[in-house]
Amino acid sequence: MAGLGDSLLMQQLPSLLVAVPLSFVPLLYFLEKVGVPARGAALAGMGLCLLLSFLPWVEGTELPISASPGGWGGLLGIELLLDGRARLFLPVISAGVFVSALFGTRWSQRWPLSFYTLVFLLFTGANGLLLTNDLFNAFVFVEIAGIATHALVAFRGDGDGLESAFKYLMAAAVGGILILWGIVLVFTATGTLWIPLAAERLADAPPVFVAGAAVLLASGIALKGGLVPMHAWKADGLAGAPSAVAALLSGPILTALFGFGLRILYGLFGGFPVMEGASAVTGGVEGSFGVLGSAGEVRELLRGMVFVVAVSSIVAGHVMALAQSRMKRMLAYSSIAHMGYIVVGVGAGGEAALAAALTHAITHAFMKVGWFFVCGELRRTRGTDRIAAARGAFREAPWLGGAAILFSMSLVGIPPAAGFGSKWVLVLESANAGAWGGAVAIAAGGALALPYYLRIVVRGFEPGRPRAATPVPWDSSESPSCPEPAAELAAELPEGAPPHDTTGALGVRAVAILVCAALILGGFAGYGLLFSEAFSVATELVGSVL
Amino acid sequence: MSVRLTAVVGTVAGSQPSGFWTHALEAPVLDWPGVFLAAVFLVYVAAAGLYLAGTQPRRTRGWWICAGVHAGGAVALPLAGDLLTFFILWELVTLGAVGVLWLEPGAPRMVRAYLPVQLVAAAALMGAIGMHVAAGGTLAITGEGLIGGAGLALLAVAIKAAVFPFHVWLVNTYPQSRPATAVWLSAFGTKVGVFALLRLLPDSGLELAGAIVAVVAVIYALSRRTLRGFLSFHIVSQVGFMIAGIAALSGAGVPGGVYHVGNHIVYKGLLFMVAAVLIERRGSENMYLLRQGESTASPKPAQRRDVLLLVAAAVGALSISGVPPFNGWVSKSLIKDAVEWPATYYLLIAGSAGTAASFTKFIWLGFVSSVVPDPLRRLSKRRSGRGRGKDSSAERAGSVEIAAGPEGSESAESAGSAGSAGSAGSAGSAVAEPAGRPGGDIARVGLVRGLAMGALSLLCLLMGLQPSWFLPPAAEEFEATVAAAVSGLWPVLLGVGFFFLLYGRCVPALERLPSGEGVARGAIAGFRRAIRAARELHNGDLRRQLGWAFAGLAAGWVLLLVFV
Repeated sequence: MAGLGDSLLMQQLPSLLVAVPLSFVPLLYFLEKVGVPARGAALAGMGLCLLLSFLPWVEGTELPISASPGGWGGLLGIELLLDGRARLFLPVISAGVFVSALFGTRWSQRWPLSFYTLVFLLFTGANGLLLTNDLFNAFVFVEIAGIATHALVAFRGDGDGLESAFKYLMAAAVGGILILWGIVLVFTATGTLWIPLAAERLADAPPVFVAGAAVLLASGIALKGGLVPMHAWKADGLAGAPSAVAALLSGPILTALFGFGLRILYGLFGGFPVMEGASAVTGGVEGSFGVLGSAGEVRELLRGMVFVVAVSSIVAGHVMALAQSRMKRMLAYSSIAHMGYIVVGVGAGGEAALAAALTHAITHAFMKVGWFFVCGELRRTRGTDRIAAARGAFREAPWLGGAAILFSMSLVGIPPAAGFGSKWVLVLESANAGAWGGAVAIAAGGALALPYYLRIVVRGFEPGRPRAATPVPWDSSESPSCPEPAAELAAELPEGAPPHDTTGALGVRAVAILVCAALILGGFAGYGLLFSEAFSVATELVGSVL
Repeated sequence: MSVRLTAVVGTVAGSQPSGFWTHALEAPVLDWPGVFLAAVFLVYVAAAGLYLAGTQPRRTRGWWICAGVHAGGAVALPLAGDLLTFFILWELVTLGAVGVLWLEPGAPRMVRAYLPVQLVAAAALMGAIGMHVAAGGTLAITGEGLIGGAGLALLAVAIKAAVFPFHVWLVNTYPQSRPATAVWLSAFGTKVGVFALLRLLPDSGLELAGAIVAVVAVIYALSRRTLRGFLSFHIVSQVGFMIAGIAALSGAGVPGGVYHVGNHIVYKGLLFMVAAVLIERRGSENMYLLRQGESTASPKPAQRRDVLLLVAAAVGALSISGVPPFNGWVSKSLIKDAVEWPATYYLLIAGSAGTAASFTKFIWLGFVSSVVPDPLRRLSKRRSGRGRGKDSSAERAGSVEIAAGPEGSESAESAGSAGSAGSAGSAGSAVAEPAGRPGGDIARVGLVRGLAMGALSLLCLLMGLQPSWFLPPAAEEFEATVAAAVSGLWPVLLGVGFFFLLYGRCVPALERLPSGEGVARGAIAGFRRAIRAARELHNGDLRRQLGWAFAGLAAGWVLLLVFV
């Protein structure tokens, strides 16, 4: 392992991390032609990517690793950069994708080739988004991920899925256009798309350009991430997606988007200023809001906007999640609230609060994926993701109930689970950085969040099965385009009948992995390590600006 | 393994300049209040565990786990050395109680009453700690308390300790659970809240507020008809005493206040045990029906056992009323000596008198008569209605209409406990199961439970006779002088006198006290309406979704363009 640090493999690692998933997109087809089942090939490929994503953690690796595929050189701007931020997030994305593929759905069983091809495309987009250091490729990867996403959301092919996919398409298209406009403005002002050079030149650019680009890029990312007031499409967009896809979109993809947002924020615009009174950590350095940071009132205004967005995301997300009767929608709204948590940490500025936001992004990704798996299992056995239909499900499968409890505890922020650590640090560090309003909102968020998870858990442990469900027209099991076996309907499932597909065993393994992740990350040592890694990344990010 | 883990934590702590997570862990604080309270909790765990072991039907394993988490968190919390541990243990206490309530019959109602406010308390505590850190505080628990977020901390404490306007969760859960469950729950939750006041806000200066709570809650307690509703309001009232002591402006009330916490755990637990036995024996929770239930059932052996029960009840009542030489007297004297304002002092006296009156009522209705004495009524009737001698039988019955009432026992029960609509079923089922068990079983079971009650009774006496064994050595020595005895005794006599002379007259007025249920219900309805409005706002219309997004974009753009 000694020579690995500067080997050719390591030099080309950023390119490989994009190229390997991309190469599996056509490869799956040919492998199936020669008799390799798509699911097995896909799992092998994702395992390979997971392995690659852990390579930067090998001792002696010197970050950042820069690669310019095609030899276009820095000035023209095609560069993939593996810095600490990417190193922190890459395993999260790869593990999330791998576990989601492991979990699978009925849909991935029905059409495995198309499903896993699309997932690899999405994977490529996510990894590329995280690694890219130029705006041109950023847009390309946003679009690659977007195209795969729309197809995956519509994968069920029924009315519900199509509606979701259409809404997702519209929202993501608008988001992509906003990002494109932002990129156009940056290019107009600086004449380059390479982020470091653009950042340098933006300092001398007319402020109108800079402000416009900032607003457009921020809006585009907020729209894709689902922050208030650009959140409304999100629950509709996920409601019709298969559970594994919803898990992918709410876990790994959101994390990649967050990583991209950090690159834009800190690489292009110089990050948020450190708040007054945060000198305990940063030694009194007043961080510049790099390009926009000249006028104090602009910075305060920006910060005010960020906190308004974050706090209203927290409130709207939790309140709307409380109001839902279907699990996927509920989880989607919960994601909106958690994006709000993360933005509070980012907006507070300073290394510690930023590190807290990074750790929360990671724990949230795992736990949300886990909850979507629980949701998928319930859909598999009950035929619907209605909360009312969960009745008795956890009695039949106690391991599922235990996992649901653990993931809920994590998302709410109750001690032994991973989410508690990140939430605790987030509250304290945001408050320490002066953002006490956001800290109080995060603390209160838990009180709003517990009831809606508890509702499902209680329902699941109630005795009995749901009463004979009257099929509703928009219930996917009724869809003509994709007829399901009649046994899918919970009401018609005879007592003790085995589920008709065999994803169960692998699903258990996938959930078990996430349970372990929750417990390890929630432990003192595990969380301490995670936080210290995030802290060094945050220091690097903030330090790159100063 | 543990060495390795410690090493990992150590390196992490070293490499991380602001790590709250690892630096937060501090050694336990082993000062007197913490150790004393933890010890009392531990003793109570043993006694209540013994009591529950003698109770039919057996609790399930899940119930015991939840109860253990609840009590374990409470035992460890007084020793917590840092706010992180403190918060985690606080959460464990809450979650354990939620689990226990969830496994009770009639759970949904109780969990609904318990969980939301407790979540608000936990969130407020977390927010308070955050603001404390924002103000530059550290996570170590020192004597100084929080330097920021006092308002949120106060909210958390008020909810957890069931201080008067935030007490609704308590009086809607403990009286609704099974009798022996209330024995377990009564000790821990509220005391944790009071202890948090000491740890987080030592200089709150709330002595007057505490005294007011003590009096108001006593008035509510006097209005209750159900046994455990009555005891629950007395928890609220006694919490007022504790707060008056801990938050005394002179700062000298901490030993008295904390000692009162410990004493209260012991005697209130004893009283809840007595109440559970009374409910089981007499088959009713209604205080006015306790004697009636007994007189019709097998009279003789019941009476013999009742003597021991009466002793236990008397010890509890004397302790809580503050009669020398029982433990309540010591701590109440310490508190009264420590408070600074005369108003606080006299309110505490009034609270003591009210407590004495309440527990006279408890003993009277439980063991002596089913009728509240009302001499004045008799007097006025005799003066005004001399011509209507035929009503004398009704006169002799005194205020029996209070007792039976026109609606009968079931509805009287539900009317008595605060807003317990729909609770009659659960209370009834909880009561019904042990009643009518054959005598041999009760005798065997009674021995175990008698041991528990006897131990707590002895502890009441011991803590009153030898306070120096329990109080911190550095604190002001408590002297059991005649003067102290007299000053402890006269409010009690006042209260007893009030009960025998005036209480019967006051009952109708007391029954009209507002319960505060309307406010809670209104808040819930408002929250529901807000959720519905939010849901209607998110109606799934794509135009609306994109419209909001563009509006947000435009707002951001305009703001930036204006300022750049």
